[in-house]
Amino acid sequence: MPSVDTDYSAYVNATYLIALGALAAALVWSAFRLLRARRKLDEAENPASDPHGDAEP
Amino acid sequence: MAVMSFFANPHRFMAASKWPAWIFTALGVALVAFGVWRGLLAPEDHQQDERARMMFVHVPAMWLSLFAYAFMVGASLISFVWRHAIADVAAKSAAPIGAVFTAIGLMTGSIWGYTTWGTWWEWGDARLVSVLVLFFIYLGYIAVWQAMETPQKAARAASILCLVGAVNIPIIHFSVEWFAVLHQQSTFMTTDDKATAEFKIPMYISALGYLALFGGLTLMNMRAEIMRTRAEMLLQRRQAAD
Amino acid sequence: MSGSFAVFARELKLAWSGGGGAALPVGFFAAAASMTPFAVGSDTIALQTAGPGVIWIALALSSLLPMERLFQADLEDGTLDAYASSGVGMEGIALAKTLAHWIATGIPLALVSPILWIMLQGAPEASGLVAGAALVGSLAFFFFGSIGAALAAGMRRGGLLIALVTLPLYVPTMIFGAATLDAAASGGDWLGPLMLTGSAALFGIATSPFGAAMALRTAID
Repeated sequence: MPSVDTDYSAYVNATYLIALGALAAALVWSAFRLLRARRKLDEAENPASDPHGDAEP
Repeated sequence: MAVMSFFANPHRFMAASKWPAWIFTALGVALVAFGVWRGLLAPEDHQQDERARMMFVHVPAMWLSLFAYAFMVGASLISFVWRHAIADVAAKSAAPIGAVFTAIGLMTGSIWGYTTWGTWWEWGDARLVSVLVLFFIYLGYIAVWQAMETPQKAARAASILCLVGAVNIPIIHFSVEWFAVLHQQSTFMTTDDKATAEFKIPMYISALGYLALFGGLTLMNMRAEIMRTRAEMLLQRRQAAD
Repeated sequence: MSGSFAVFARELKLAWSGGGGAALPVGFFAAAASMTPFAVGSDTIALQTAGPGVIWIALALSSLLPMERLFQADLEDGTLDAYASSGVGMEGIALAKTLAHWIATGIPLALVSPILWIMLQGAPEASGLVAGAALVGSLAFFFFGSIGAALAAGMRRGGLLIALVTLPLYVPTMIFGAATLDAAASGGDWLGPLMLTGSAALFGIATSPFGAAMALRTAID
């Protein structure tokens, strides 16, 4: 068990790193999901602009 | 009621939510950054030590883990009673964000516990253990959404699970508290009551930031979900026409 | 009410005459608990310490086993539809089926538990208490499990999902039941924990048929 005089800054920094890292990951994940959904919707709405040509079988 | 029926139309929701999604997210980022900055700069109180700084990121995450679940319960109730499409999407989109907050709360709580109790995990702390169970409920909820074949059935099943969880969480919390009393060797100090103003203000700012982030990210995920559903519908319709 | 009693009688008869309905969970229960000495070591004290917890975890997992088929089979072959259209409330069906399966499987599990208790070096005098606690505990496990069973009934691979959804609901029963066995092992006060286990079971019986019925109605239409 760490004693009272221990320097806790490493633990404090670790909590900040975890929290900010997880929040940033959630933000990037959500933005990426939104971007992909928008691209998918664009492709579905204007099939002519589909760069892959006729993707349907 | 009026607001609810207004948003029952996905088009209206999409039009109304475009800017709030980004504004809430930006506000959340700014507030969390400010809270963290203030938290790191807060003067060191002689009464307490540096460990209190962990509270700025830990306590709001714990609050939001409960708030997100309460939000899902509300949305599930609306979805279950009125079969409200946007409420389904709201509950579904909030779940992963709530789970992230719960995970943050658990991990930072574990680190704080190590510096305070000397163990990375203390089964005698009822709050930490209850939140662990809550995390499993989040996982089950997300799994139900992914396991069902049709979105309508998934929405009903998920909202039932969410409501069942809501009924059970207080009972689980009570039983874990009972367990903690049974196995507790020493009394654990509560951190909230000894936090001073210098530490409370950054904590509340962080909490507001977390709340804004929750709103922004949930809206982003809801928009993504509605766009995906619409894209799939269009593709199916085109395939049917071919 | 008479309708759900008919369902209960039919389910009970099916569970018994089908033969071996209980054999699989009971076998799993015994085998899982018998693994303990290989993991913990054959030391008497170590086994006595781990025994109550291991028996209780094994009981919870064995109670999960019958859940996958609790409603799924009847949903697939249309029996559930037939029950529903015959005017029996879905809550009554859920209650009757869960109770019938508990009688067919839960009671045998409880009857086996003292044998495992003694194998894990528990005091034989406590056998009755262990069986009683397992009886009450498995009742709670079955009823809380029935919600997960109903949710997963419409899914192709619902087995693991039932476990993920149900285990958090098992927490109170887990705590109170294991505490009862702990008290039985150490000679402490077992009545309090046993009463709490009983209240968990009563709460499960009172509420879970409604949750299961909501989920089953979703699965049918």
